[in-house]
Amino acid sequence: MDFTLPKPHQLFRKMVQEFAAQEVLPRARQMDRQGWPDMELVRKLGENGLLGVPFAQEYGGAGLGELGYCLLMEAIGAVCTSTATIIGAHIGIGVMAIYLGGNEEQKRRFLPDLCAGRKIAAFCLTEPNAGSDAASIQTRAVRDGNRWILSGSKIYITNGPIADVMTVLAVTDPALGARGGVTAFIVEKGMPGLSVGTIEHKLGIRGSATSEIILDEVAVPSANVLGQVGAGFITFMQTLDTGRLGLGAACLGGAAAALDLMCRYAASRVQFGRPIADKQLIQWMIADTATEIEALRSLVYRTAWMVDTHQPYTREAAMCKLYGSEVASRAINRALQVYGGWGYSRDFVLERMWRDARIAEIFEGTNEIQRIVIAEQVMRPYGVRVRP
Amino acid sequence: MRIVVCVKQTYDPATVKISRSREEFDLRGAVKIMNPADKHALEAALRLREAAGGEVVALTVGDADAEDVGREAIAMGADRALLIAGPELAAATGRAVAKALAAGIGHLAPVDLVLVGQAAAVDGTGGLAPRLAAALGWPVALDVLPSLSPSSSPSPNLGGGVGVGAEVGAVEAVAVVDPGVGEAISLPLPAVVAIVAGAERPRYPQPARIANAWAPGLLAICTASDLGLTAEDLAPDVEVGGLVLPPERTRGQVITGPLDAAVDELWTVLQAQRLIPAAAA
Amino acid sequence: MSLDLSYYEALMGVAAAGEQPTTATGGVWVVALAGRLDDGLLRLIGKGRVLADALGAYVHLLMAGEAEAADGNRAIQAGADRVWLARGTPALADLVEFFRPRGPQVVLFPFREISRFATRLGRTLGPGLAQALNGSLCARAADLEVDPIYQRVVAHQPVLDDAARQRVALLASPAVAVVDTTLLPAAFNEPWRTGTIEDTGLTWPAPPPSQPLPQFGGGVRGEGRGGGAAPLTLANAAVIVAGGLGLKSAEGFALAARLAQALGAAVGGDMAALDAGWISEDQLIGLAGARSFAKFRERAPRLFLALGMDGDTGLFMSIQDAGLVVAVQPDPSAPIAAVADYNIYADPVEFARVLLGKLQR
Repeated sequence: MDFTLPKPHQLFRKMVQEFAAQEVLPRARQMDRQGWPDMELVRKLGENGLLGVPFAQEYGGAGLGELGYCLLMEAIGAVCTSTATIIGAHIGIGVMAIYLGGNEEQKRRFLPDLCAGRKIAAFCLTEPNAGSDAASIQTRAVRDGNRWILSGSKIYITNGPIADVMTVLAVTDPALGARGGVTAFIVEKGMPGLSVGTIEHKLGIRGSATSEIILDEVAVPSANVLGQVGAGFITFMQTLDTGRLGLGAACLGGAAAALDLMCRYAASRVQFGRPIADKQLIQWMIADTATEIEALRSLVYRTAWMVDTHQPYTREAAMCKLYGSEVASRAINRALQVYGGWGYSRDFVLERMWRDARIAEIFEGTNEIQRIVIAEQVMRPYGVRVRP
Repeated sequence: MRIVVCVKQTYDPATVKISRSREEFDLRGAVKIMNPADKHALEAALRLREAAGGEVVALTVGDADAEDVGREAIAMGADRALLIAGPELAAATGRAVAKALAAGIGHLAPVDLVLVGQAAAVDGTGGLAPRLAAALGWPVALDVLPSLSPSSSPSPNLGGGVGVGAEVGAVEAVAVVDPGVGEAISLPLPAVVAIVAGAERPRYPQPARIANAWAPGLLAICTASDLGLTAEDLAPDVEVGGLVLPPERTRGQVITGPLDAAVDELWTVLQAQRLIPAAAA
Repeated sequence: MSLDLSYYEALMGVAAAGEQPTTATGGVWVVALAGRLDDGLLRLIGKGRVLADALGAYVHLLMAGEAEAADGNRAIQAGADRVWLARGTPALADLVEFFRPRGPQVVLFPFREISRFATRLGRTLGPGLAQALNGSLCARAADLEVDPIYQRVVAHQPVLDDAARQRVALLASPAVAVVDTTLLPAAFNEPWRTGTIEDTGLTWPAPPPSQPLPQFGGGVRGEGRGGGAAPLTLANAAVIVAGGLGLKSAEGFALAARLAQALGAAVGGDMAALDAGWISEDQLIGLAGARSFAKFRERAPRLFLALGMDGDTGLFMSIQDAGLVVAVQPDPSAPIAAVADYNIYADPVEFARVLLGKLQR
């Protein structure tokens, strides 16, 4: 058992923490206020090699694996959840789908630009009638010679309005459904019939752009079929597994930032003649939060190690997302309580963190779905089949 | 041209505390980093390489931990690194470090330019560059901003400049005289230049280079005796003792009296703690 | 500082070590390179005198540049026993050649001389001389003393932005120190002192012409592009001047900003200053301001000057790491009064005017 990070990852953590403090944090407030990504920041992320962290270097990535990706999400999540969301949608699911499901030619064609940030990716799964029940998507893809014609609409697509490359799940054989009848496609910006629909006005992560994506008879060449025809559902579910881990890491960063804020204020705020840090009520909040953060960190790093060493990790990734989102929400809620009225002020960062944290319990598979995934994994040896 | 950048591992000054009771540094929780001024020196070297071509080599002296800053320099863009390490260097002071670096530079010959950060964080004094220059017998410039331009020969008429791959005989630079006031200098090579922080942040290490920085062949390690240094060369020239601390803070003191007199009294306090710029003092 | 008897003994012209020094070699040397005896150099000669008396040695002054005999007399009144005159500016090799046969025990250089060329000479030649003569060095000393037991020179070297000073014993001879003379005790001026003035006959090349550049930015927010020096921010400044509502008007705040510039400080303001448009968001001091986040700080400010700020938890979080907090505002019952190290209960605008006037004098 050796819990120290490998040397390159120690240096990478230092680098990305500095980047977060110097480049991301100063922009976080403005991004939240304007309700739109700072494209200059996205460009800087790409220039500094932060949009291809986990991928192999032969495709333009940094080759730092899932552990590197988690360190990135932790550091960025500590200062700006919107930016972490943009990165998560790009690396964690958008590009990851191509990386996991694409053939060699597709990887060589798309990954270098995506890793360098010259192009931004989005992952298009959710539909008005297919949220948690992802298998019931209705977007259709019909073969037309050497191409496929895609029709339908996707909603809540993070990076939708800024994406150049989208991985889209569509039904190719309604009779087979999720088991062989669903296929993933790489859809590129500029293809006729592809458009950005309604922009979502969200409670939090306002610095990330979320929209509807409309596919109106978009002709996609067969070369853009991601993996095998009919294998799309599996590719997408695998992708979501790794995406969940990154989300858990971002939550870890947010929770640790909340703890830091909490301690700092408690040490300075004087009431009844003493800093409130002297009060046991405050100390217990801090102790509980610190304990949960350490448990989460162990879980996230270990799961990243499992991914990098090619072990099954579906159960652990779901745990990272479930526990991470809850730990972050609790930590930020407690921090807000410690700050009292100040925490409730729009002048201060905690209200943004509080709004931002809520989404983590909802997106990338609701926490209810995560519990189902975990229960399914835990109870399978007992012969129990868990169904949603 | 071959540029050597001397990089040093220091404690992050923001993480170093002072223990009043023991009159020494409290290093619990202190984090080791690459000396911030050295990052500016490395940035200057990388830009010079971009302008004139050649090779950038990071050179460091220290314990085994110091390997990390050599690797970090590689991740930032240095072509390779040389670490001079070993137990006989554990107690090395400024004189021995300058000798070891000079020996390292001799080992890396031919070297055209040596860049160092002007001063180390925490306890730096800016003595390294002139010491190293004296050990090498080369000219030295202090307080130089990171944008250096290569030229073919030293000249009082600045503004030369050469293209990539051309023979570089001198560098032109700006040395800071006072805050906001500079002096143009032209320095014949080989030379030692001490770099101060510039307006632009040094580049971040590239993630892909970070992943590769520990690959074999990039960083060479040698001992002081490999470089022909004797125990006498490495003997300490100074002995570091305890800290002299300013008087303990007393909160809530009030300076009374008419405003002019109060300002005078505050002036004395600020001057005693050297908080008023030297030019005004 | 504790009572330093040798200082008073020196004042009285009594050598602490008793015996009068006799040899021509050794000794405490002060090197003046700008050809002019500024006040800092006279103080340095006085410090040399104190060290020499403790060590039982002569004080020598090497004056390069446009040295004159009148300067030599003043140096003798300030504590020098022997003054050596030379012309021009020595290169390191010249200085090594000069000192090697003389075997100095201690060589003191000024960190900074008030002159057109020589500002960096002491810092360049001092360490070089130490290395070339295989001596010991403190390249930046704020003070010097002689260890009474081991009879060796101990330099006080500033650390952590001069938050403290480290004692550095100079073991190898010569002990070379580049001394920041600004804080040394006032120079001696004792007409009864005697000494010799000798012309070395040495003429070194004249200093190269300096090529001063116009202002290139740096030090002032918003300037300093490209080749400039690092701009001052709330994250990296050693001194922060922060203004609040108590400055009352944009003019009042502008005065505080001018004061900051004179102090080489970064400017900050509270939420009221932000709302009034006196500062930008990255200059905000308070809970929402950058300084409330540890991640954002690159270094702790040594001085935090709060003008017209009552003090709330946000301000207190921002100044947690400050070395010295000075608050200027009129109300003795304001929360900041208990937190600041020094309070002046006055109109902050008037205060800024007076301090600025004094700084500009």
